[in-house]
Amino acid sequence: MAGIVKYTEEELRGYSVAAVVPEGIDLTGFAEIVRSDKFEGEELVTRPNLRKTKHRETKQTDADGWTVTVPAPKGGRRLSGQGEEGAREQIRESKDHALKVKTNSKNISSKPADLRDAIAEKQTITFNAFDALGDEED
Amino acid sequence: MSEELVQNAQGLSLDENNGDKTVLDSVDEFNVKHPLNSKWTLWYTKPKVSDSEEWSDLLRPVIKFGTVEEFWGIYNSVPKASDLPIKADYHLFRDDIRPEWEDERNSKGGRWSYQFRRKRDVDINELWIRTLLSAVGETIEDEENEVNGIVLNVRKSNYRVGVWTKSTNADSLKSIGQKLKLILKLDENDHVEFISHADSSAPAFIV
Repeated sequence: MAGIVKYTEEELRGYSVAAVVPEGIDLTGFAEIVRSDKFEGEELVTRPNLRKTKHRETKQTDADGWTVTVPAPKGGRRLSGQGEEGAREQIRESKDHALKVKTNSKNISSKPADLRDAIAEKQTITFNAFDALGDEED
Repeated sequence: MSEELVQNAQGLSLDENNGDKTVLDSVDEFNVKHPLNSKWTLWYTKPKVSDSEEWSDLLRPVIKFGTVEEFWGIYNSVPKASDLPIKADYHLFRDDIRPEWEDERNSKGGRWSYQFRRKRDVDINELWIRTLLSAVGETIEDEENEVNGIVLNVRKSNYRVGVWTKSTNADSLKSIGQKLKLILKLDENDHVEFISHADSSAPAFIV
């Protein structure tokens, strides 16, 4: 087995004069993407009150219809500032405490399961005493 | 006879026009490249700007290379660490290893990391190139291929440099942690911490 190929920092820096981009590769497009990302990010930072961080529950439904509800992160070992990696760590950790709910596939619909329930809910939400006094048809 | 020899020898003389140069005098003509121990892939994570974006949408391989000269060509062509947007990452990983815990070559490992909390006091370009050189030059480790990759996280209030390893064996990893401290020019009082991917609730050990 061939030995490991090692270069010291000084050796590597010495070869920098022979720098060459792999044949057929143009990295200007990538550099432009990064510049664009930076510009976009700075715009978001300077735009007032357009983005608020909301701690929402994350729901994931698997092929069997099980829905996992992952609690929103709360303070403590918030890995903010560690970005995606931190967020993913949190999700992974919190999955230990996740709620697993079996969803009835028949109910995965925008229609109510029982029309009477929907009517009752509708009435509760929109109930107005003054309207109710003068409206007998409903 | 002697005249004939002189005439023939004239064509062999080293004159100023064609005789004094070697391949070492011209970078363009010097095509010998120095192979690295492994091929490496540079990855970039773009900042998340929308809730609909998934991690897989943000992470992209940029380019793969296998020689010292290609490393420098790429390094000179991509944005410097200090030019990355906030919430962006650079990852340099060996071969085709993806910079994710889910990659089976990472799943049993972990990462050394250090967070620079005062960004203005840090020459991140110098520290990142030192980290890059220690990885591609294989001087960050004693064991061959223990290091899977290195990561730079750029955040609003800090930079974080990480070294991902394929195992969590403290005996072989502590020397990598010590070397990372030297690479990042940390004091004795500063500590780098190692966290296992399988149990990220607390550092497994620090040096």
